[in-house]
Amino acid sequence: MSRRNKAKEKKKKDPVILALDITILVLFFVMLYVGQKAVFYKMLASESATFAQDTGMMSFELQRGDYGGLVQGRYMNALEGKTEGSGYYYLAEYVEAAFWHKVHEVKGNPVKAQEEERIMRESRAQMKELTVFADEIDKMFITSD
Amino acid sequence: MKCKYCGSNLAIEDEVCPYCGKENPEAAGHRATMRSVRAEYEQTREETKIKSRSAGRIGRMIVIGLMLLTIFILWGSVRRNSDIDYREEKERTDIARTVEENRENVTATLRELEANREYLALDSYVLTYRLRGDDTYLDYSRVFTAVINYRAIFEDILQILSGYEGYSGEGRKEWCEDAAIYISNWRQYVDGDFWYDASNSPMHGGEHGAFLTDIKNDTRDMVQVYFGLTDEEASSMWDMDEEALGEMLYERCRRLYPEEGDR
Repeated sequence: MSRRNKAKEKKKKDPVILALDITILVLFFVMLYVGQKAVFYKMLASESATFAQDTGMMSFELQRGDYGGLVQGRYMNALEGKTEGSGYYYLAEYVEAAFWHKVHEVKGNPVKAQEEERIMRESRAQMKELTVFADEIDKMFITSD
Repeated sequence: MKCKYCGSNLAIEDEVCPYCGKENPEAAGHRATMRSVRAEYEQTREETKIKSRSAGRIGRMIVIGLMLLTIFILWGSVRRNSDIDYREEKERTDIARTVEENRENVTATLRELEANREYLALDSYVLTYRLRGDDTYLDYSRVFTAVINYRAIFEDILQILSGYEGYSGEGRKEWCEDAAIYISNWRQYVDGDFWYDASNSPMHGGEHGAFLTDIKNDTRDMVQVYFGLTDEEASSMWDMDEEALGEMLYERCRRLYPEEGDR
């Protein structure tokens, strides 16, 4: 048998195997697509079991000016033991203290007002670069007088 | 090999001796052997080819079967986890199980948060562990409703002050309206007949009663300060008609915190 014929014979592939190979290739991509969807929904299902917020979400809320969401996020995180090491936690604490500081000051409760002031001072000292937002919060409570 | 007639060298496949021209008797046998070997080789080759082709097909079909099974399982997972009702039910069941397994701790934490008047922490705790639907804590119904209302009013005031635009583009007008509704509904949902319990029921009594008094006073104080109420208005606000209170607070809020279009 000549080399040419041998090469020709080598090239000739079983059409059934060819079809099966194409099927495997197609199924491989289908599997990738479905697998990726499965992972996405699995993550969604496990995420929805908690209201805790990561720093990315808290940063997003802060950029939007959603201080209410930030305060709630602080409590939700505290429930999961995520309190220390986050400037957002102290900022949220500052917001609540500033809110009540004004109430006690206007209502003439100096002891309670001083206690809130102490919390504000301590929170401010620990929120690091987020103090710029604490300044904004101060303005918020002053201008609304 | 040698020609048996003339002794010359000849190949085994030579039919006749190239020197003496006599027939080579070995050649015929050799040809027959070669034919048989070739036939056997071809047959083996063909059989191997068929076997290998079958094995290839079977192997690929097994792979396809496994892939289909994997896709089926993954798709089932997608169907299940993408179903919001399923996710909620699973979440509810998981949380209920966690609460049941830690019942003593949950109850102790609830008592502690209530005793320390940690309204927002209590609200977060109730929300996280879905305690409003838990019959064990039926006596806490008014307490739970109070902290939910408190948190809503607190947040609405913060949104009014900061001018936060919610996800639907809410302005101060909407936050004022929301706050006015929550405050004016207090008597109905926290104090009132909403829970159909007797006036001396545990929902009102003991620590719950003291808690409800404190949270109501604190809510009144924050409403007074941020809605600019006089002492007289603040002290009578809970006795006012629900609709009249809502309207007064809304008007006051709109005046104190106008939007650009209001000026």
